Amino acid sequence: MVDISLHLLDLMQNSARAQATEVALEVAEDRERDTLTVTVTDNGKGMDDEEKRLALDPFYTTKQGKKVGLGLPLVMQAARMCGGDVKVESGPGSGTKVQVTFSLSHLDRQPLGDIPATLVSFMAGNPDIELSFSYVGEKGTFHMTSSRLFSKREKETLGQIALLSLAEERLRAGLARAGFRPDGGGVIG
Amino acid sequence: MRVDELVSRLGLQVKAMSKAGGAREIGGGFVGDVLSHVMANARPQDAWVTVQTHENVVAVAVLLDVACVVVCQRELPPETCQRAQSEGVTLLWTEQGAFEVAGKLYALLSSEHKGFREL
Repeated sequence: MVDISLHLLDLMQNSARAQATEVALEVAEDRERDTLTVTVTDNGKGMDDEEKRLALDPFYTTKQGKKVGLGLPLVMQAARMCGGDVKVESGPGSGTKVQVTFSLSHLDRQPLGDIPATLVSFMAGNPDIELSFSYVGEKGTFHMTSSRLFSKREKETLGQIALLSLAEERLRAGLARAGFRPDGGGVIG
Repeated sequence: MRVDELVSRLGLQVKAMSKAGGAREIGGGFVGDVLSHVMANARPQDAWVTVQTHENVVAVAVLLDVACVVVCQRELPPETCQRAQSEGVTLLWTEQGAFEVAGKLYALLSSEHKGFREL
């Protein structure tokens, strides 16, 4: 993965495959502690201890016909390459929380990437999932939930593509106000 | 060129190899460290040159069915070597840099295959 947003899309798709109806994504940059923390929480079917252990193994997948499952192993590798780690909390029937930490200023830390496009892509593919997103940046905090992103009038008058364009526009504006930089990596950061 | 020929001509260390691994024919080469980029662009039968050492390298090699993986300069953790052995992936190591290995590999392959442009 060339940026963190692609890892996030993978993690959110895991939530969708786990039959989640609600997915929450939080991206928090903390310059004082030099950490970038991304957290994906869902209310899906969850995993038992053995499944949790296997989820980090690149040769384990629940997808039929696939030999490998690289979503979590790749994000774990990306995090560990720059002094971070992955924590998975889950239980059968109680959803899953995946928290990934990176050293914010590490030279090898990947840039965040195009988070608005990633979120819109997830919303387009999973219209029935309630997605909430928070970004804590240098200049402030931005929060949105997919069900409250549009007014009743917008939902009634605009088609699916127009709504998604509007969502992307609002996400970009909100993130810019909070100081989000898609190209921010270890050096530029 | 077979994998065992590549090993001897470049002086590579064998970290894992299946019985048939040495006899596999190398059809091309690919250099890359971003695993998703490798997944999208490398081809079966390639010799894949990388500095990545994580077990995920073995998973990507299995997925692509590359002829071998050549890890340059960075120390390979034992678990990656064990995983390569158990999954039948040929994992090679060298202290040479990726630039040097890629140059030598290209020269060897271009002397054998007409499809390679002479540099």
